[in-house]
Amino acid sequence: MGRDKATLPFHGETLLKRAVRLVRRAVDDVVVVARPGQSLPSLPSSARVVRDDVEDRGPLGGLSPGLRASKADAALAVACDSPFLHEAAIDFVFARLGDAEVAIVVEDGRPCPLFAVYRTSLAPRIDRMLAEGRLRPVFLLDEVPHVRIDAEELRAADCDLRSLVNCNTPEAYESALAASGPWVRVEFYDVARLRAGTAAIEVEAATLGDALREAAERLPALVPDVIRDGRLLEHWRANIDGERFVDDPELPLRSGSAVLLLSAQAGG
Amino acid sequence: MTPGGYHGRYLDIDLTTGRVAARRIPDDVLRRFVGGVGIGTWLLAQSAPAGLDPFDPRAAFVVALSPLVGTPLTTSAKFAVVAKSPLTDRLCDALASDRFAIELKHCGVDALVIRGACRERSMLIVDDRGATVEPAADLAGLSSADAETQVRARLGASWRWFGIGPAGERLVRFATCSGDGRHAGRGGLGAVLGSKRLQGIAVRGTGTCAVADAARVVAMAKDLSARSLGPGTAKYREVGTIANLLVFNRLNALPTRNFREGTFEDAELISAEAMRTLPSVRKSCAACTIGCEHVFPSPSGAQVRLEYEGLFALGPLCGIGDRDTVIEAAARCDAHGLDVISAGGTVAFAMECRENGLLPDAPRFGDPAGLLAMLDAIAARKGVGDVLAEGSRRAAALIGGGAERFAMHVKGLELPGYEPRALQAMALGLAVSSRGADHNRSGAYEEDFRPGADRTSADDSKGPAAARTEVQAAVLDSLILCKFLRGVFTDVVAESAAMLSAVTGWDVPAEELRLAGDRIVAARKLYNAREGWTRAEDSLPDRILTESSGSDPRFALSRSGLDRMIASYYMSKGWTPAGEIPPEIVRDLGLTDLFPEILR
Repeated sequence: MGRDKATLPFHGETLLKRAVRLVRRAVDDVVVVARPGQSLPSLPSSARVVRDDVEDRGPLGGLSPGLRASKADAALAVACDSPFLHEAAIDFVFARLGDAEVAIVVEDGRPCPLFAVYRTSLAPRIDRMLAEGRLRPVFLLDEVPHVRIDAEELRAADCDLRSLVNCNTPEAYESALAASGPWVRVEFYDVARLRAGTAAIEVEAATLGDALREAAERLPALVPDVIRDGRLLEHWRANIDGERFVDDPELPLRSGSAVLLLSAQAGG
Repeated sequence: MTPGGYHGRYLDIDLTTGRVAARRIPDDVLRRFVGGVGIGTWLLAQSAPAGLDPFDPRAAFVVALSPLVGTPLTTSAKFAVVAKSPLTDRLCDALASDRFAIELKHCGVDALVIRGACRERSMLIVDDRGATVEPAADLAGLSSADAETQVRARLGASWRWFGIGPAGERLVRFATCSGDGRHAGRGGLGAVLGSKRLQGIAVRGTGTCAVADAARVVAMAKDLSARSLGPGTAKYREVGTIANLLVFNRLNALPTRNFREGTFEDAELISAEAMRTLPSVRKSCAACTIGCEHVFPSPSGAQVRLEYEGLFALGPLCGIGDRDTVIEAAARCDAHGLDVISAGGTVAFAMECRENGLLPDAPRFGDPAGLLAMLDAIAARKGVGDVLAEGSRRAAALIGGGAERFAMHVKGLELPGYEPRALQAMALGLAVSSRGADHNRSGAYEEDFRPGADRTSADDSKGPAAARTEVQAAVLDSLILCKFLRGVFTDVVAESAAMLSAVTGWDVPAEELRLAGDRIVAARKLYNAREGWTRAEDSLPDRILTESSGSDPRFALSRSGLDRMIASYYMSKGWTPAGEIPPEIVRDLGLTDLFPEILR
């Protein structure tokens, strides 16, 4: 790319922040592994940051400190430039792990080490491999029982395989920016604006519930006073495009729509 | 034994003779009319003959308390003033919040009925012993706030004041009555006091008023106070009603340039967000835990409680997008004693007359200095201000040349800040309200904001919805509790009935209180019928019914659409298609004795 992908803007947030937010939909604990001295964009307070102590060792180099920091038995490793991670796809890979040490997606015959679930107990083994200079992820697969998930299988959870999209080139980044959506503008009024700390944000949402959920993820101060579990609380109203007041979270939204959030107390 | 929360009597005061008589209010009247606007309507209807001019010395001015006044129930320190409006010639009730209510309750009365007229500028002094009239020439020309300071310096700091400003003295037909900076704003009741040469009422009481079940009342009060600090009132506490401005602007519901448009290009400049950069303070009425008042400094140094209605009327309605001008205009309305809605509405009317060559001395839309000068001229009744002091309806008749089409009123009362074509349940509420175009006696906008409702459709569902919110408002205005509490109640009427039961000792089911609300709505309507109401009055200005808002066809309301909604409203109440209340309903509501002429 020629620049740090973690800080690339993506519709009002950075690629890294977006990846953290999307992964957080599927898991409780998110660890960000940064290069030594890497400057990171602002992140949700729920994300923990650890540092890889040596540069340029490839995916296994970042995997080791990440697995050590994880609080779980198994952890998903994804790249920060994955703008379309889908929670169903993440759940799918976790579900396929079974008794294996690694569950890894294989696309066009090539394993994707940064769309794979690893046992956290693998950290010492990975450290050994790094010390031996065996940096390629495939060497790990040679050593441990693993499950290979063909990308075609993954379509059951992510029909367009958008979870596997990365922004490795400027063209891929521009393409991802253009391909995302539908984009919806969430506008905040009265107390909702005070809580949000902003007048509006752009969110990627196909339904009202999606828009509310993403707004809550991006602006945690809206939770739990305004939005809880993807729904507005009773003292709030949602309006589409300044026209209809709505409350059905399954309501489809058109790209370019505006969702207005405001107090239910209209009078005065 | 008198039920808890009441004294069961009122003072009947004749300013002409100075005679004061304590008269009884029967228990059954207390129970059927509750208090506030309910008791006030009952007293007004029997205290003056039909057909009196509002400025006739025989006309009555009623101050009515409620059974909750003086209890620890939050927001209950309120009172109603009721009289025939000089702006509408129909019944007008207006509410104010102040310790005045508690002091008057401690004087041992539930209401004052003031008739006659003083020979010179005077003040009424009410205490435990009764009422007396004293000369008050020194208060002439003072703002109500300055008069209050002077009266308390004279009588003592424990006295409370409710009085008029210069506009009331000069019989401006939309003059307010005020106390502690809070106004009984609509309908020009300050001019009624002015016509009686009464500058105001000073009260101090040292008595008490027992409640039936004090422990239960205290428990309810604690619970209500706690809930009043929750999310149901967050908007009022944290931003204030001025938060409505940007919301309504986004919904095409912000009346702009005399209701020609529903959005204002400079709304952001005068929004709550713009105001937040000023050093504001938050205040509350007596006995209120909500604290909805957000007070801002004006350029002239006044402290102004800025509300949405003043902001809309003195801002977008007049095409003014300058924050300091709007605050200063609100400060001048306070100082003069002018209702901000009617003041802004009447100036906007004059601005459009100017555009159309009918009133060359009026300011243009968007003229800050012109707006301020015109408010001063109205209060002083100088030049064109003397015409505008009559309100937009009468001013239009005086100006002629088709000026009527620019007068945006219902029954003579200027429209509040709810664009009827974008909020069509509210359009119905404004059209049928007995007080005229009014956002406090009808809360029909709640229906417009309901998920699933179509706010731009004039359909039959609007009638029952408007009727329901009107009854709910009548209950709250009679108890009296602040409408900003309605978001904390699961069922406003049921919880109100429980409070009323605890205070009075009656067992009041929710349905009985709902019926009382319906009775009060009907009583106001019957009063208006007695004074000459016709079906044609339940309508909206021609502009609303013949032009779309901002030339946007989505926001249009036809005359037939409004008539359809009005028919559904009448039907839901069991009234005739002509909007008359059938005799059997009058009888069932127990209103025959109060309005015998209706049945003749």
